[in-house]
Amino acid sequence: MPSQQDNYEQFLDDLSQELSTEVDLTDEDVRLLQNLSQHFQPERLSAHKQRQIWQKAQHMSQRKMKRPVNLWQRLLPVASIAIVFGMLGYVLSMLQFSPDTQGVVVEEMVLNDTLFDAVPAVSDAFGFEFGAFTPIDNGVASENLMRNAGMRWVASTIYFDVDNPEQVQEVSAEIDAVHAQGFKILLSVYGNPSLYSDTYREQYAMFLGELAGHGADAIEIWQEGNIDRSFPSDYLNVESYWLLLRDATTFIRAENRSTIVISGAPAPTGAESAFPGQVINDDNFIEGLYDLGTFDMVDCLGMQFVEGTVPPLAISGDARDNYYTRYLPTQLQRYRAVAGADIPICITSLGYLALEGADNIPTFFEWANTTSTDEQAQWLREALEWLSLQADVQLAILWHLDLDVGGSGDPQFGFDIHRE
Amino acid sequence: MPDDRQEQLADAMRASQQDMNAFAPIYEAFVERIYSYCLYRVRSVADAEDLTSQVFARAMDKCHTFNGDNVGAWLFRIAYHITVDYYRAKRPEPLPPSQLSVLSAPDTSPLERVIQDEEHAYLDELLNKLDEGKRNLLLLRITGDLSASEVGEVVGKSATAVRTEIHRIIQQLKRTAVLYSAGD
Repeated sequence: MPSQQDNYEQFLDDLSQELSTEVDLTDEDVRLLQNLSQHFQPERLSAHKQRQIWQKAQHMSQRKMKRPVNLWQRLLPVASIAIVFGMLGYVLSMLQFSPDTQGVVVEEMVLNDTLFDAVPAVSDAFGFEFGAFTPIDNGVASENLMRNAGMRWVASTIYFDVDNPEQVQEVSAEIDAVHAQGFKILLSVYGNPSLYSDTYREQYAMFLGELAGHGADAIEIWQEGNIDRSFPSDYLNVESYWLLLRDATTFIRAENRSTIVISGAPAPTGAESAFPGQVINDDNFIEGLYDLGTFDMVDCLGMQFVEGTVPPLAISGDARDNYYTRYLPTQLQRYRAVAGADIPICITSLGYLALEGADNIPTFFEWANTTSTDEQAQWLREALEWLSLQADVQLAILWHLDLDVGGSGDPQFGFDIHRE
Repeated sequence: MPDDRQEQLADAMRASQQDMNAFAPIYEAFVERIYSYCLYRVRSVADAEDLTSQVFARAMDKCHTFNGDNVGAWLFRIAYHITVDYYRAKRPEPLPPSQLSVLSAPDTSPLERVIQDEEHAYLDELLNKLDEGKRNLLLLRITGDLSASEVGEVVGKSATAVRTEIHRIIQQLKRTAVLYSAGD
């Protein structure tokens, strides 16, 4: 073991010229200063820690932001109105009427200026926000409905096409259109499992970096990395997915440090033992990512909850079983337990399947047959209200507002809360 | 820091007097350096986080008083006064070397980590022989990455006086090291 003096001499061997121009210094002086500069170099702070410090500064400041302290107290009435309004549209459509929005007075929710607009990754410490997946075509058609509901976020699913050199421009146009309407945009970006390789991983990561550079406010990296339905079976392991997260995060950060980086929400599942090699249980997957230090790297842990059949605060009563993914509180609790307390949670897909009005539903979705559209509206409202009170939940994105996927013959239709 | 970046941040500070949205890039640019400065001064992670929040809270409250062109010096002046207040209320305990990650890259081996900790401890011992004013100068110059002129703005001295003082500190550290060496 070297003596302290040996160590000091070693310090003195680490030369730098950085500080030598300030005064007339000897070489020995410079060496000492270099050692001091190493000793005193700035500490790194994780994005989450930066947010915590920022949030505390906000609370301490006398110059309060105009944002209401309890945002949800203001959001709740309009969110309810919007959801009920959505259901009204659905009911009217069943009666072959179109909802007339012109005469409906919906309270205008004015969301005040915050740092959210400038630096989402810092300012999401202000608390909970929500939004929805909805089609983007030169902007969002449901703009007023969403704004009146208090939604700040528009979400869009992107499928990276490595053969389309125009894709970045196409998605950038979506980003610009959504921003022009005053919303922030979450891009949930899948890749093509059949093309996956180390090269493809880098191309995908670069694509995300470019989207960040064009102003994406949040990016969810390849959802459902724990099942071979979405992620390449040859790479279906925590280490491979971590490499993807690492590369994607690096490219995103390089282009835009304000973009919120969300780890892809795994598919909620307990089928690992039944389908070895094809499925990793979501809690095991997250725990593995935690062990690799993922949650010091990304800004938010992605989570999806789309298979509920009971009210959002229930923790029993599901006809299938009482596995933790059946209930919102138990799934959230499980994720907290395996991901640690320091990483915020972003629910990138929150939905209740209600199949009223749908037909030819596959038997695989029969579990949702008992959920009515009225329950869907009420449960979403209750879920949002409850989530807004969870300190570590930063964001919830409804799956989905009005995607009208495949018409009434597609079970995804049943997630729409505003149906024409 | 490049001049154009300095100007951008100064513009942001002036804009934040009317629009708090403009404050965000200032926070991003300085949070780690302010935090590190506080950490090395008070030697407590929890207290450093709290003091960093205080610094930015006060900066937001007082941004209308900013009338210069150097945001860094202005922020560190706030940080300096806040840590002085902290000192008056509570004398900090030395931070264990293991809590300082500065010389410990993630891929450091356990043996290297032990050696680095010893190096930290030794340098810390030398630095503890300095009074707080001198330590503060080094922190502002190195951790704060402020020029001698900017350090002078913070502590109310001329740039020349700061350079001279740093030079003296170096000589003092060298003498202390020699004394330690003779005592081994």
